[in-house]
Amino acid sequence: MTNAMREPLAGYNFAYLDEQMKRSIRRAILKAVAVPGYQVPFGSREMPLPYGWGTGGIQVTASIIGAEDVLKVIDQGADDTTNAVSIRQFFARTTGVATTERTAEATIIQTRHRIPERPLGPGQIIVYQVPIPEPLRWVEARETETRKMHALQEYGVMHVKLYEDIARFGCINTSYNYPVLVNGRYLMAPSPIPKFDNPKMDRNPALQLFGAGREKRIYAVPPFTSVKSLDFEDYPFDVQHWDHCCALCGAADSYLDEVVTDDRGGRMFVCSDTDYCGERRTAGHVGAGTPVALAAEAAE
Amino acid sequence: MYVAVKGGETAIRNAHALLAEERRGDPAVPELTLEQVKEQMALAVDRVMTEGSLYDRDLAALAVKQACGDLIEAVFLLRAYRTTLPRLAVSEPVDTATMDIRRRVSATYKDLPGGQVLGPTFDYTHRLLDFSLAETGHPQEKPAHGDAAAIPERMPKVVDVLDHEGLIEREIAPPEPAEATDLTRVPLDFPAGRDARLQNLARGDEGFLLALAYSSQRGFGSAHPFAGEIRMGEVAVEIVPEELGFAIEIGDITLTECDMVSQFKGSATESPKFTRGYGLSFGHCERKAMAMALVDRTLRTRELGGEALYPAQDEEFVLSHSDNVEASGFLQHLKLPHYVDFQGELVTVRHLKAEAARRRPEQAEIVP
Amino acid sequence: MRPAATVLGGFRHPVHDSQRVFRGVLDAMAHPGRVVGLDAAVATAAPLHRGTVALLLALADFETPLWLSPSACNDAVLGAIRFHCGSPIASDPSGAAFVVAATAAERPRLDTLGLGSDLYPERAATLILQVDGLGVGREIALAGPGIDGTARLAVDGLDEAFWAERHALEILFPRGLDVILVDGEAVAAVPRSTAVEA
Ligand SMILES: [Zn+2]
Repeated sequence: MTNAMREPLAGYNFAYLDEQMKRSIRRAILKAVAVPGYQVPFGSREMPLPYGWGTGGIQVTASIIGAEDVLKVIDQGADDTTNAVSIRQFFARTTGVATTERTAEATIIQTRHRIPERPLGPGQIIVYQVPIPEPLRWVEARETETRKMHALQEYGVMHVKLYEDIARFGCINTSYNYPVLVNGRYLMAPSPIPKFDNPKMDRNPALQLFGAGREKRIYAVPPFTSVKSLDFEDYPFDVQHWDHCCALCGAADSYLDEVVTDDRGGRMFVCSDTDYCGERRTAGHVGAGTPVALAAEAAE
Repeated sequence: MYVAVKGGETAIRNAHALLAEERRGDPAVPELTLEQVKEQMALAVDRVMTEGSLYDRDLAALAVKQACGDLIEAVFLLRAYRTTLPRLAVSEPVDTATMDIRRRVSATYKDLPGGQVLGPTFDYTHRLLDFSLAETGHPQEKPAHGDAAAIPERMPKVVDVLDHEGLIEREIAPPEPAEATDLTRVPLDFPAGRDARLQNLARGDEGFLLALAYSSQRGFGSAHPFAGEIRMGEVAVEIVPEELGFAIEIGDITLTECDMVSQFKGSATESPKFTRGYGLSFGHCERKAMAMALVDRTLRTRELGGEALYPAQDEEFVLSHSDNVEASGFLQHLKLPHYVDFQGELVTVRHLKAEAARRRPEQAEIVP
Repeated sequence: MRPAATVLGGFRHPVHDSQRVFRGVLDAMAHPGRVVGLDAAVATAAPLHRGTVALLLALADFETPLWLSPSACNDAVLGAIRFHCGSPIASDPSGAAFVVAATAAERPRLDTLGLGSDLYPERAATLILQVDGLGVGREIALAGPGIDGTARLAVDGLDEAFWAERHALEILFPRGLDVILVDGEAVAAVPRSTAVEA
């Protein structure tokens, strides 16, 4: 599961970026840690992977990673999705560091859209790939305006938007990238993780770093920092629930992917976190294994 | 038994091999050389250098070949390479008045010192497919180079002619130190200075600027422009090495420059005059330089006391969306898996549907 | 370019040493009050501690104006910074990104330094302040992001006025000052998000 270190790519600097670029990103990271949840602008550059494909996370990881690190890269919770494979290969080639699929063994975890199910520990760093760092973007398109709103801590519009959801739908109609308030001060986009993962961010002992390459922003949540999902007293925050367990490992507490098994409504639910699922199966846990028919779909 | 899809690494490797095969095309056809791209696809090379922010014809030709002629992909390749390059020196500003002119036209004066020089242009070609080009080795008509000597060494710029008469706004040099903003080191911030704006537009997508400039011509923020001057040719680049303390020439680059001149009716504080819009590109990217000059001017609407009502006048809108490497990446990232988020949406929509059915059992529809 | 002989040595392995020093200071900044050894074999130029030199080599460059307190403004230090970092030397500490105080007595008043703005809090300065000891001396209670409950930081050679000035900045958040205390190779950070209870 863990691939050992090897010689980094000749002709390029360790971790691709030149040292001056790393320094400017490192300074931005330190400021981001000092002002939790605030988006620090940085001079993002083109990476050999496209904008929108994790360049912010890649630049953050490239600036923090050292020869002794062990890197895990996941996309949708899985180590073997094509973009996770591609990013892991990029770092394996340009740094030669050891890579792993085991959450527990990683010192740095770069992720898109998930937080691993296994609780992160002190000393670990999780780097989120962020497409749109501005949580207020969908209520106010202009950076010049949202910057003022953050400065004045003027977040009423976001509460209004969520409340309108409740009025129309009876619940808050946001299932991912659910806005959070960091340390009681800054409204922050948790990146497009499902709201299922939001509670994991709160008072997490790991350091959480966020990189948005195209939008040129870095932000951070230091360890043990309060991260509160916005809600209302009469409509408390809630996460997704399934009526099923993982078909492979039987987990009832993990985020599930829905796998379509036929065109007649057949479904399987399996852990999105492949390492978590694998660990459980290795430990002897077994799921029901059979496809389920969703009542609603089967009737149509 | 369901088994999760594995084998991402193998799939990626194979995709690369398939792409290489597509790039090469029919192996019976001779492979393109970089010399051929550089010499015979010169305008593609120029565009890639301009939007790639790197003046290197060889690397740009390589990028065009590697990208199978997809110019935005080629721009991306060049930009990613640029990221790895150290900054060795900052050049002195180039002086386009000393340009070694190959083309120079003005739409505002019939004749002017130095004259009009048509140079290599599509302008008056009849767009008839030239079937003689379908054959290689066809003899081409030789241009007459006789008048080249007649082009004066220093050709005054049209805007300077207007300046002499006090009819055009003065370009005021910024106070020292005059180091220009570099968007590759400092992210865009609003309001952007003119240096940041011009760098952003110069790197911006030609098609995007073309559409914006066109929209302003059609009345979505009219700037009533005249092509004061378009010039193309070679200028010398100079640097001042610290150990020497004086400027030395490090080479020539080809540039296309456009000065757009627009009437300004004046305001409470300013008298009527002509205003400028400026466009500059590497190589011969005339459409780009003209569009850039128009958009530079429309983006000055607020500065000149007007109200920004249209997209081409809206600095944040234009500068935030001009970069095709950013735009292309973000658009295409929609191809990446989003099934975790989609699963969240499925759970939500099923919940809403059940909720709606509970509330109004007779019409179990999802609220849009 | 100056001949290398007159200049103080930089990192032996610039790429890896910078990274290690950065991770050290990141660890410190993410855990206010934690004393972290920077583990960088660099030569010092009096009166700078080894940790201060390592921090500057890792973080300062031509983009970061630097202010040095009077005793640190000597030829050896200035030469080393010019050669290895290229940072502009600020004559006024309020315009510096990094403010280096060789001793607590030489530090500028904290509220005279760049504290950033509500719109751009990241533009605040980082104060690198050399002290007589970390892990020994008077204990301060710290609370806030990065701290599980309360942390206690013992610092020797830092006056009451410092903590009072630092405490007074807290209501300005997100404006503020990020402080890195240095004792030899060891550092401890007190970012602006930390509440100090002197
Ligand atoms: Zn499972």
